Amino acid sequence: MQPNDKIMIEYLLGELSEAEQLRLENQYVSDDDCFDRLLATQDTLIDDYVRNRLSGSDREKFEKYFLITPARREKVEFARALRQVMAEKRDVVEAEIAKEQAVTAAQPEPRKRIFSWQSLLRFILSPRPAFSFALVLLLAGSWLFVQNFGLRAHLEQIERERLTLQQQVTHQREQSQQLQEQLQREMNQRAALEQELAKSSHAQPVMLSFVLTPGLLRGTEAEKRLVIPPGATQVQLQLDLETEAEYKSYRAILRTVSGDEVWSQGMLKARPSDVGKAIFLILPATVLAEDDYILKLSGLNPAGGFDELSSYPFSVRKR
Amino acid sequence: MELTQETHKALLAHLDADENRAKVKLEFIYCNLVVFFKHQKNLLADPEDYAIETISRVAERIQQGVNIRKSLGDFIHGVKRILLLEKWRNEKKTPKDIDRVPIEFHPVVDPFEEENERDLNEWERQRCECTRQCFEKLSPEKSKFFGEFQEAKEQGGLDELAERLQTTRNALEIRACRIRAEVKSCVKPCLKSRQKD
Repeated sequence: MQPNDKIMIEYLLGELSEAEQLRLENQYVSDDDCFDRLLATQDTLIDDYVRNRLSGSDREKFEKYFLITPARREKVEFARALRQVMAEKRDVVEAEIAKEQAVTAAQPEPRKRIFSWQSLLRFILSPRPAFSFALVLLLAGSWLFVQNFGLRAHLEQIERERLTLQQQVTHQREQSQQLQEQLQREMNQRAALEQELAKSSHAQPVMLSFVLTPGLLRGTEAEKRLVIPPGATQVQLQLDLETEAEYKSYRAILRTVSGDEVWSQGMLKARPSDVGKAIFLILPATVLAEDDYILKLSGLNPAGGFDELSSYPFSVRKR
Repeated sequence: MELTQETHKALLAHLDADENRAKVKLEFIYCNLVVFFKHQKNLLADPEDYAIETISRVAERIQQGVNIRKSLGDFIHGVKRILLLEKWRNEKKTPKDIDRVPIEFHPVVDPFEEENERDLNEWERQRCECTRQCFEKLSPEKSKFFGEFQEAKEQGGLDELAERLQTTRNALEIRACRIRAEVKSCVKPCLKSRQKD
């Protein structure tokens, strides 16, 4: 399913959560239609900025998060120039239309038409009373019919306008509700961020966190190394799961490369992480001496046995 | 780590077979990495530097032929988080705000302001001139369509235009976007040539 414009605008304004951002990036890298839509949405956003149609907060985000590269600022300058060129073109067309209308208005009314009205008047006022009376009645009747028809059309138009207004009111109510929800969401996010900030500024750096991804780390010496400084008491390992299959519980066994088991833990549960699901382990830092390790993760199958899932090789260096 | 010509090329090839589209995709990814690093606390270097470092690492892994199991997005995400953890560890203890100058010490008058403004106006005039020239180079059909599209967009009548042209609004917007890109790709060399003159 294609992501909607709202999500794309949030992406461009740097408002999406990491998970949503990741989803969209994966999608547009592989899906041309999605990427085309993103480009069109970007143009609309830039045009809205140039036309001053963005709300105050969106304008601020646009300037703060969107206009961060010279290439993007260039796009805005181009949109301004294009707008000016299009306005000039429109002015030229309008001037031509106005000129044509002025030429038409300056031409005299055809004499034939005046003559025909004069003939009609002469005919009505001619000495033929019965015929003239019938004609007057016919004209009055026609006039009433036209008036009646006009009033009906007018009433219908008023009714249509009333319905349109009603739809606009409903639409604005919906928009207002959406804005309120968005505001509430942002307030919640802000409160959570403030809490997180307060927590991080007071917490002592005794626990270190590492993310282990089997596909990412394999064969790359630099990322395999976990550097543990003195004073660290605990180490949290986030083991990103590469399998889609769900297990009731998981078991992790940590061995040195020479095969000595140094630590194990069972009954582990998968929890949501930024990239899908992951197992979170907390080990005492004392367990990890300077050595090379392999952490093996297995899942408890319905038969009561364990399926081997992934290996996470890493080395530990103490600073 | 440096983004070399070869690693950059490898990354672009991974993003899209069409190099121009790949560059735009990379620009989106880069900008969002900058935004991500801007949100992080306790970083001393510029978010742009971290974004380039992330892209450089990803590009190098791709050139080395590392198998990206899930997708490129996940891969970039993983690298940026590792980078962040590394930077946090390395930079946490360094004094912060060393370069922050209080607002009252900022210069109030820019002696070159008037001159800069004059140059800026001239530059804008040149840009409009190039845009006009490039727009004239469009085929009459494209030019007519784009004019109608802009007019309808300005008036909020894109749905009506789509109905009249018997197409969807999405198709209209994408066609306009491509025409716009065509004009823009002509404006850049035009401005460059004027700069040389």
